[in-house]
Amino acid sequence: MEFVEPYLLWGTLAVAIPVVIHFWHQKQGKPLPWAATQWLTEKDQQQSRGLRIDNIPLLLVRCLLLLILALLVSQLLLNKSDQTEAIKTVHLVQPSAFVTDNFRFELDEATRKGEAVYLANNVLTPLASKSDQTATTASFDALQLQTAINELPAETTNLHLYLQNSESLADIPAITVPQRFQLHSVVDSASQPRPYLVVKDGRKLFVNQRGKLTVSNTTPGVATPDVKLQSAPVHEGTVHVLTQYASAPERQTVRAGLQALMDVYSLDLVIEEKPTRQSYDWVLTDKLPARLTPKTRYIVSAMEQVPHPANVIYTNERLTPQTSDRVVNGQLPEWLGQQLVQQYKLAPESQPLTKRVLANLFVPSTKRSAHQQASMQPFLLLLFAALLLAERWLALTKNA
Amino acid sequence: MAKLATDLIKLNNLQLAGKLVSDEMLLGIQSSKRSGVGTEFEQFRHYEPGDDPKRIDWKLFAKSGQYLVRESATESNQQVRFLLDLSGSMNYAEGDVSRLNYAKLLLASLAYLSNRQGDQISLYALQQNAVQTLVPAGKQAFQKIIALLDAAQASGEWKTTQASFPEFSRKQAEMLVLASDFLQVNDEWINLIRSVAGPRREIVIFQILGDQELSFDFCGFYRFQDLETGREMELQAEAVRDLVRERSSAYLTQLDDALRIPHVRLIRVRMSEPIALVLTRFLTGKN
Repeated sequence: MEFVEPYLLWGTLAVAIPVVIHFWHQKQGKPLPWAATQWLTEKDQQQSRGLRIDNIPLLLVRCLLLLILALLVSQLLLNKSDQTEAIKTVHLVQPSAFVTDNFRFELDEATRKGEAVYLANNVLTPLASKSDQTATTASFDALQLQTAINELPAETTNLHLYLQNSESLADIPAITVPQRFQLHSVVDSASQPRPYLVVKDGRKLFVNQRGKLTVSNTTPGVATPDVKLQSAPVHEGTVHVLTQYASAPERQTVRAGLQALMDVYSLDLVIEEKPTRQSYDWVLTDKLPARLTPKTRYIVSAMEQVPHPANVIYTNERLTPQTSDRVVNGQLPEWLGQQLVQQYKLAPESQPLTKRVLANLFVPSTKRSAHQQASMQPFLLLLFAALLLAERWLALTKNA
Repeated sequence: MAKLATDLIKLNNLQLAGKLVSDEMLLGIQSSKRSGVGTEFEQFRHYEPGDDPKRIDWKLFAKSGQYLVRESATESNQQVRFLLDLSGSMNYAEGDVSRLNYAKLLLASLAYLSNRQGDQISLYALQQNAVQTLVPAGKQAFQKIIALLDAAQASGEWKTTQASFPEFSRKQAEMLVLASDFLQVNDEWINLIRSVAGPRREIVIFQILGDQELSFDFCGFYRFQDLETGREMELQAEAVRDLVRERSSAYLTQLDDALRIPHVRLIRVRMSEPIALVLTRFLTGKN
């Protein structure tokens, strides 16, 4: 016997309820000699004297009723189907050349043993041979993986999962896997060339392996100890910035913030306060200009208005020490830096998950297949209904 | 000051209690005796012209040579019959006062009053589904009544299927005083009272009820024990309170209506009322 929801078995403690009520009704009232009994009535009152024999069956039926209800909700399963079906080992591989290459040895071993090796796509394509170079599916996400896993019979599968550790796996809160499950993950540390900016003195600004914005002197295309950069920078040379603020303190604050950013990352920012050029890379203002250029990023110190173009960012506050926590806490340069990273998409799209997060992501399922669940429920339900009828009949006829 | 029934019960002396109660309401009334023809001897006096010669005591004449007339206290023609309910429900008690004690005190006081004014008094009891004669009218009836009242015990049920007053058929002016709770009276009883009541026979019913029976102010879980049948019923008092009040008031009004007939007086008495006040109410005719 097994239960799908074993913790609901605590419900069996509810058996105590009718027993307690039974004994409660045995309590003695204060005796009171009374003459006018004709005015009293016993209708709708509990029979409550002594341990009545006719009450005992009713009590038993009620206890049984609660027990069965508890079993019903905790979904009792009689394991009749045993473990007759053999456990099959299935290897599920993320459709990506990188992953197949990485686990070449394991997969070859598996094919040699005659175990099933599938690509984790919607139709579970078998991975034919080692020579077969799989085309990397551009869009592989957690949902797709879950769909593939669901295709397999959860009961009888010993699942080996080969995945590239990437942030996109955490898009869904949990991935349900069979009980017998093994995860093989690989971190693709250097596959994606990262975008970068060329700043002063030909140095490069990029986000490094630990997700930190750094400036260094690497050459494009060549992998630094940890990251590979794209062949061409996203932006080169001066970044033109226009600041337009009505109030002097705000202008001063923003200017100081930009200056700090410039100093730390040796950014080549040219800050102007009167528009002289056709277009700017960055416009910081307190009033959105009437005409917007699509390539420019606007940072407006005003309340957010919807809808607004994607390149307009609202601060929702005035950037002065009096009105903005961001300025008071000295977070303005950092925030401006984030805007810069976002604007040039310097951050890599996917970060690998930590080991613990990855382990927590995969939840072994305890759910049984539907046909097994169905085995016991109708019988219990029938019994429950019968007992309910019996209880009502006893209560209404015998104890009326 | 009117004495409460509790104080009178503590006296444990019905005769004294009856006297106290009666005196309380007869303040200033002088008792002057009238002599006349009767059964109980009182005195001799000299023959006067106009007296019936038959009344001369000839034996005494032989002894003394004087014409002496035998006299006794005048007996009034009024016959007062006291009927005490002795069914189990009379044992209902509230505080220190039980209904039976209250009824005893009430009847003793009335008996004292009646005796004083020379009425013929007799006592009957309603027991074991029948009217039993405890004390017939006659010599020293008052003393006997007091003694029997003192000893009376209430028990048993009152389920009169065929009610009757066996010897109440004499054509004489009489008064029937009934002390009961009148809680389980069916139509036969009311019909009987109706048929018995008449110009020559006045019926006074003292319905003695407890405060709780009228108001039902209990709170809590009680085991009500029927005083007559012994049947027990466990009830949450609050749950039935409204129903009980409704039923009791309905029953009492129905009883009032049924007994609103000539020569019948229903006097509803609460056990907390001083008996003297009840008697005053009765004797002055203010219901």
